[in-house]
Amino acid sequence: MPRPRPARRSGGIQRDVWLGFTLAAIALYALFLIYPLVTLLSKSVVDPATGGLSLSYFTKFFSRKMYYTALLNSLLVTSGVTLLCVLLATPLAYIMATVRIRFKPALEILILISSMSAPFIGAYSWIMLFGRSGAVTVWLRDLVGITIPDIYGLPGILLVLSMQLYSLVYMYLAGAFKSMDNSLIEAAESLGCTGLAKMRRIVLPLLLPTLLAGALMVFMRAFADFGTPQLIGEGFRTVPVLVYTQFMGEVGTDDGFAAAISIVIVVVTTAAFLVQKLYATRKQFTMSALHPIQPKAARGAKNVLAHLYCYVLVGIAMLPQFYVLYTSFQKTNGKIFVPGYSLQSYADAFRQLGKSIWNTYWLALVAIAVIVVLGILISYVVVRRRSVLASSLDITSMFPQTVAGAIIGIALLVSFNHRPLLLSGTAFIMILSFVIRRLPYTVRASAATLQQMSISVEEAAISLGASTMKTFFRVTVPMMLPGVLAGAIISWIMIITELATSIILYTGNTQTMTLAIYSQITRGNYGIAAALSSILTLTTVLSLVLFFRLTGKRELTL
Amino acid sequence: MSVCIHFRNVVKRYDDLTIIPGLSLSVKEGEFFTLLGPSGCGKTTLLRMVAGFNTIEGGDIAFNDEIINDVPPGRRNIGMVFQNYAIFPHMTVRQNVAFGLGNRHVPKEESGRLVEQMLNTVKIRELAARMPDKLSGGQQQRVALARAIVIRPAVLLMDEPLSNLDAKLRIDMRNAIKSIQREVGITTLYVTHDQEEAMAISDRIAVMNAGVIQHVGTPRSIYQRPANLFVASFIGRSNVLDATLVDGGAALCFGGDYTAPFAGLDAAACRDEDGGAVKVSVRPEEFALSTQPGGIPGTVQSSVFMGLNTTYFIALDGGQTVEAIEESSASDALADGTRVYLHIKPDKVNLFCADGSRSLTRGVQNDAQA
Repeated sequence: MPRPRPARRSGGIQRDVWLGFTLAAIALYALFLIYPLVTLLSKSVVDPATGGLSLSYFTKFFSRKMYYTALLNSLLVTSGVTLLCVLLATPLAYIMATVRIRFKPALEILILISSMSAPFIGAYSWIMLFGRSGAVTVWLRDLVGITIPDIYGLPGILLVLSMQLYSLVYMYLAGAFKSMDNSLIEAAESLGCTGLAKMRRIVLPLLLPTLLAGALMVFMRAFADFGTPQLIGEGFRTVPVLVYTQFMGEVGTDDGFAAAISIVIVVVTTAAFLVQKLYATRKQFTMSALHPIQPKAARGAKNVLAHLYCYVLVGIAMLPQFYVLYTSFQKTNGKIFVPGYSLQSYADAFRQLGKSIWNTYWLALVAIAVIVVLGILISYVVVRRRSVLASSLDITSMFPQTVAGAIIGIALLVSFNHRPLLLSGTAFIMILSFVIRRLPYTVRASAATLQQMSISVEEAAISLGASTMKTFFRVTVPMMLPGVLAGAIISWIMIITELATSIILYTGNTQTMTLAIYSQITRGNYGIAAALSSILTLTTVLSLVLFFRLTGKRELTL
Repeated sequence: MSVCIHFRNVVKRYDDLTIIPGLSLSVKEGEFFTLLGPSGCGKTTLLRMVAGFNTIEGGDIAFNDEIINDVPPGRRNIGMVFQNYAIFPHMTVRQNVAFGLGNRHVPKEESGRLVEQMLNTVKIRELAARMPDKLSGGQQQRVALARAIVIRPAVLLMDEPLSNLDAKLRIDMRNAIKSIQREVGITTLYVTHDQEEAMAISDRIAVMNAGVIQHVGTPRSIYQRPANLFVASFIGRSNVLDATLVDGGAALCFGGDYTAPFAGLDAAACRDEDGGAVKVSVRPEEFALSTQPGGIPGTVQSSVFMGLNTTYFIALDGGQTVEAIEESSASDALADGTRVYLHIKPDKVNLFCADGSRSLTRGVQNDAQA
């Protein structure tokens, strides 16, 4: 049977509606994404003195040690974090998939939460625990007499980022294990391939594409992360920090140079993305598990070690979250924590920074509403109306994933800080950046759901006399909804924990919680920062609970 | 209410690839008509052209006198049952069945009554409030059927509706479909690649290959008097033997010293270029086995006991292997290695021209339009 081709489109008007939408969406992307990036590119290749075309900024970047060291530092951090995440998460995913672990659902929720938290909050919490005057450092020094190694610089960044981002690799791998049919493993065993050989020849090759996809996500996030190296890196500067200081620094800002560094970052991340894509298209296979791998109860030392590994890893990763929550209830006197507990930090947070809480919710809600509508429409066009236009819309809308947040912020700012499109400082530009950066999660999840839906369900509705529009709203959209919701919840959480773009675009009127937390941390108001962070974490947890309630699901796949 | 469907020189093309080069066919009012053929023969493509989901690149499809080429799918008044059922997963069984009535603005009370009646007809009344994911394959099938029929379509289209069911359920469901179709009397166009299913369910069958109709007829006529060698091989099992017409067409010589009398030659179908060489299609049950010399000689290779019958695989001396079925006898089957002699049952076998494209046998009934 030849696969039924995409169905005949009945009527010209409907086609025009979708064509019109596609063109409008492409036009908006051209204005709000491509134009800013091109502006940025053009700024980077202009000679500051003559105004002519020149590569002087790039020459400057690659010829001075203090600049190119930042790139080397970034690459070192990124590859280190990626490697650590893979090494930590692979055994975790394998153990959780094959061994029965007590309280596994709770562990998975914790892992999910840690993947959703803002890394810089982790950084500051680690500092409060193990920094120069951190709680643990002081306790060990005064009571036990042990001096622990310094956590600032490279080791600190590696610690913070791998403790947060290992969760991404885990979630990818857990998904892969779920789709791996146990009979594949049984077939290998029955053919005499067991133990390590089974791992090497069957399990790992099957996991590899997923592992690489997860590693790429880690790579992107680690490379683009600005908050962590800024807080814990001290002298260890990475490229995003360099861009930020060049663009926003108190002295000697240089837009053109910041633009040039941004282009370097885009080139690196896009290259990583393309390499992974190339590999994935070559090595792709589909698995569907009729008999998924069932975790079996282990015994004796194996059981103890398996539990120990999972609990210790997840426990350490969650430590900063819990410590932040704990300190948010500590009594403060000015900037200093004093013995005893109170809600003073929360009261201060609401009094001084209530506006940032309000801003976070209303900006994010508007953005998420736009994202849901665009996500549904774009994924429908991409999956069901395949055409050159649709695939260019697909690529364009996905592209921001490969661009570091700070760069999108800079590009938007340099493009829209003058008439006729004076947007800088407005709520609109904040919402715009949220939509551009976080839409891909919703589009991807919605498109995946739509792809699994047989088109014959929509054809059934049409053959039963429903109009194309009625079919879309009554059949297609309701069936896509679980996917849309799953994507939207990720988009939502990624918006409220966003820092890199908004730190460039915000003004006093549009300050959000993450920005408030960041500025409180830099000023040393740890109590208020902890209270706001806890509100943020609580919002994340409640959002996840709401999602699980609404969909009846027990997990969220990326 | 029901209609006849006329296909007039219908063409389906995807870019440069022609799937159906020009097909003509008439389906009678109220008839259960099956399109049967191997994978990729164009039968589903043709069905989807009737449904309106595939465009028509040439010719016409008409319901009675109305050409429907450019009528949008929702206005064609068709009921369609999909291979994967295509039940709306977010609606209950009742909502699924009522969906088409709602689009036709049938008043609420009447719609409710029609739905109840239909749920009774397909025997899923007690499942009315369930969601589809709580239904078995057979139950989903019944929902799909009810949803398609309740709108009283002029034509019911079914695309391999039984292929996702297990063997036993498939037989139950095909009987159910047949009796429901009889009851409501809708012209039905049914697509399958399963020839046994087609025989059991259809009033008439069109056997298709490579976008071309090979034979249109009742199950009996296409089985007993296939129009060409493709149909003979695709429907049921057939052994194809080379033979020569002798005695002015009154006997068949199978080489060696076996000559069988043959009275069924359709002299009108023979052409000069045919000479004497023909193909003879012999179904396994159209052989008679003997251990006495005189017949086509061969050796039993293996046998399979199937209860009522025993199937023998016999290597002919010429090198070909054939399949023969004998009623199982009380004594043991013929042992492997036994020398046997095959006789044909001359009134049953079919004769084809040397390239297999035409039957030379009298009694072929083919409604296919040239």
